[in-house]
Amino acid sequence: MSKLLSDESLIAFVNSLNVKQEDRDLFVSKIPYMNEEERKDLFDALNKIYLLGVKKEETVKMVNDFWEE
Amino acid sequence: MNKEIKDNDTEKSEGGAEEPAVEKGKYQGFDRGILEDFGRDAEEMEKANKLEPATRKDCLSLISEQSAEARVGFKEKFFKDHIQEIKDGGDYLDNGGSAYTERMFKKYGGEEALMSGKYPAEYQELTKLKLLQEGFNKDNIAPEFKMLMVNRLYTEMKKNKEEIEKIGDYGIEGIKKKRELETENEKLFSLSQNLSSNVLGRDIKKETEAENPYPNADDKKRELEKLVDSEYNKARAREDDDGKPVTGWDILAEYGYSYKKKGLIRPELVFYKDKKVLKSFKSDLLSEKIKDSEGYNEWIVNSLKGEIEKKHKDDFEKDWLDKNEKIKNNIRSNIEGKIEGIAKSPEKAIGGVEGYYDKVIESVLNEEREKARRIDVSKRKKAEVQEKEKATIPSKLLKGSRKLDLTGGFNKDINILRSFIEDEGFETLDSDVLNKNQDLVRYTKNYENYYKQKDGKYSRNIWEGFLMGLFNAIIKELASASKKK
Repeated sequence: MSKLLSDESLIAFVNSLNVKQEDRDLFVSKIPYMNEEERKDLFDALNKIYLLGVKKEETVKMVNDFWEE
Repeated sequence: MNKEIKDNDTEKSEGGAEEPAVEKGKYQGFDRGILEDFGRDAEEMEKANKLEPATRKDCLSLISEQSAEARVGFKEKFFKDHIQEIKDGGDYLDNGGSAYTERMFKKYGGEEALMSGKYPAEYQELTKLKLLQEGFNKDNIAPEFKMLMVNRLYTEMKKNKEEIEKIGDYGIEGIKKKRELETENEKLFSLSQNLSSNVLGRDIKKETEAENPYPNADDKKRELEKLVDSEYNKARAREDDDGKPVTGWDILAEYGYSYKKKGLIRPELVFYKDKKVLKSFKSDLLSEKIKDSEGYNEWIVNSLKGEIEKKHKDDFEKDWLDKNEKIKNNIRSNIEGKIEGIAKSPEKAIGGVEGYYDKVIESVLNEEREKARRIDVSKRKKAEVQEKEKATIPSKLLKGSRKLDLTGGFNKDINILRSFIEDEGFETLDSDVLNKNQDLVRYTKNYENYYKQKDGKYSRNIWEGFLMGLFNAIIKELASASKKK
């Protein structure tokens, strides 16, 4: 299994995201009991959430810049 | 000197079909069997199936276009590779015009570099195009050339299609470009059908039309309008207290779409900040674009259609990148003054953007939450413990040769062993089971005999070996007995 899918890696990933505490708690409590397939799915979803967050910031900045011109 | 290419070399073109390698000015390695699979003789096909002059002309025009593009591409590559040499020679490439560029190309040996084999891919492509041109200029065009042409047409259509997808529905300029590419693709498709029909001796166009659910464009348009109307009415039914449609369609409002007018025409566009007018657009350009209602309406229909399609795709998963690009491009286009409508205030625009992203993130999170909640921790914990125990029993047993405090007497030891196994979770190990199993009998006999011979003294390795064999046989027997039950 890839190191990226280990308990430590996935938990660190969850904790680095801007999500509600209750979501964080839910994922952290379930990760140690997830099988490889479930870990892959979660990793994929966490990636999406992270990238969407980045895109959101970029777009908001773009709108702001537009109005500040 | 020309690059030497061996007989029957083939390489994959972008369209996926194999194009023969070039040798001494000829195409070689054609597999005429492919043509014969269609029940026709290749030689006959070459003589009998003459191309319509218009089709031949279109093919030659495309070949010439592709040759020009390939040559320009090669020149750019050559100049890039020789930029330092050109600078050292005191020459410049910028703003020199095509005659000057051509002079530079000759001066620094572009043609020689092409022929010397330093640029094999470019050389191959240009030579193939040249041969294709020669082939299409002949009275009898070999069917292989026609098939290669079809392949090139598909590659070209694929490129256009990718560009169309990239453009999306970004404003009037985008729609115009998209329409141009679509028209070009229609022409290329028609040309490919003419060629295929010619090669196969069947009317491909008629066969395709029979399968087309939209035999003419008007039907397709009506179908789309019907879908748009139906979705529009559904969206209208979901208005909030202020008469504003609920989320999901707000992105269209950002484009300036008016639900009440069912259109996107604003007399002017005003940006507010802190309740003051920040910018107001009522230029001639804007008025002119507003007058272009056909393009505008098409833009809206396309935006709506895009939304409807996405909505029906059970959302967000596959297309979030497109949506993001769509938002960004619309904002960019507004900066450039190409699109008229956006939100009324920065707060509203930012709120809309944030809300949109939050919604997408929430939809991803929601699915993951559901999956995580379905994981029953206590069940998995139990399974994990059982798995661990199962894996450790043999080693525990081995270590147990000490822990078990065996006496060295067979009858006593077998009872100690039995108790140990039962303690580990097995319900029973009755003597009938032991006696019925031949492996057990063999192991226990060996064990007993060994004890007898050695008079109670034994080597630990041999003892452990017996014990493991005995244990495995017991497990096997128990598993089989449990299955029978």
